[in-house]
Amino acid sequence: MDSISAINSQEQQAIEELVKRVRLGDTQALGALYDRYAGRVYAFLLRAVQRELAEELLQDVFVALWQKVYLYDPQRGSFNAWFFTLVRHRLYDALPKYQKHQSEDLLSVPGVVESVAELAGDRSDLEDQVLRLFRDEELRRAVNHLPPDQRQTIMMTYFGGLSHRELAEKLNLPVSTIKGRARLGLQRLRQLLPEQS
Amino acid sequence: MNCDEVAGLEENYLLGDLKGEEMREFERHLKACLICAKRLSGYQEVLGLMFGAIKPVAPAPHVRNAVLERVDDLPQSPVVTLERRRPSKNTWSGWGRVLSPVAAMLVVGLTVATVFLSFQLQQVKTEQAQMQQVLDLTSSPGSWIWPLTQPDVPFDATAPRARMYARPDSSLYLLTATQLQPPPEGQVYRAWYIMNATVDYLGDVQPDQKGNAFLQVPTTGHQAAYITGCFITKEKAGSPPDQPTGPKFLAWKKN
Ligand SMILES: [Zn+2]
Repeated sequence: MDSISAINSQEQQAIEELVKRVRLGDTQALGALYDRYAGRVYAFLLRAVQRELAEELLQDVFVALWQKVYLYDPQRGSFNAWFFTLVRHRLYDALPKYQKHQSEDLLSVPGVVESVAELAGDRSDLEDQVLRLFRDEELRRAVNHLPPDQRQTIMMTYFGGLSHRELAEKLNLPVSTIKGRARLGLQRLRQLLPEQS
Repeated sequence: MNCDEVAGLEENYLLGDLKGEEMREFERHLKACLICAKRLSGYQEVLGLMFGAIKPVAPAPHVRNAVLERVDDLPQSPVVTLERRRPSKNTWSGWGRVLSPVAAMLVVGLTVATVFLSFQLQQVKTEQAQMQQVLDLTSSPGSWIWPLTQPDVPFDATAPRARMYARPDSSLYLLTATQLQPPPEGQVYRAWYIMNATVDYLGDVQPDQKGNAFLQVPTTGHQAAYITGCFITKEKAGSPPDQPTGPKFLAWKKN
């Protein structure tokens, strides 16, 4: 029942319907989208920043959704894909400001601590981390099938709040290597994950 | 930005750490280039799937209220219609009788100019400040207005034409077109400008059902003074917007 391939078309349709209403200025529809997505956005943000900022960013994300929803084009992809891009852009917009205000090292950022433990070679830590972030069995399996360097890159950048440069510095590798791993990882996941309708 | 440059930056875009002009150029390329757009949307779908499978963590209830409060009187992207009625056929012939041919030509010219202004700002991708710039650009006497016409075709009031609006201090270029037929099957109208002897891609020009098109292009360089020409070509839909390949369909050149 937990399969991501089972995101049923009815749910997709309901979301598209809500998106249409948000485009027309319907705040209730925005509330309904918030109810569907806020928990995931919040969980994602909490991996990269602390709670106070995560709450602030969560607000910003939905305000940005309200303002930018007209840019979403269903012909060009799913709402999930579009919206999650917006969430990431929002997070990485805010991160530099946030890090300037933080006296602690990047390592104090919650999502990063676990990732760095993984760097020390403890594979099960990363697997735990993946298991903890995602609820879907199929997806967890797919992620675990990735070569360790690709999995690490995807987890620490797309889901851990690090930039390519930051991860490159931590691993003492060229940025281009990190970007290459990110690309290969996504390509591989694309093959491993079921096609979305 | 060409396809190679886009490919080199796509991880940054996906991550969310592309900024400013680079981001705008990247997105402009994506809008026009099906190949890059498709490749990128494949990655976005993977990340979207992963996002969909994240275990939710319930945020504090006050966040939801704060969101709804903030958007309550917050305007969404403006959908503005600036339209003026086209004079009817009767008006034309009536005026033709009373006015001398020269004056009639003047009226025709002025009316065409008015028709230029009749375009729809559909889904203008901007917040209010940008909207203000659009209005400034189209209404301020300090704006440059460059007419794009069909090369080597005598004046014809019903022919397609376009205008580019720019200002030395503006962070926006605007291109409007009118009386534009839909492009041939599988083709798009693509606008370009010439600066420092190189040709750059401005954007795709998509006429609506009435043949009007509106293209708004953000810019940061304040380099409009160096533009020496702009033109529209017909190109294969979805092809990378690297260089114009078709002949100039509408063009303007600085004297
Ligand atoms: Zn391309």
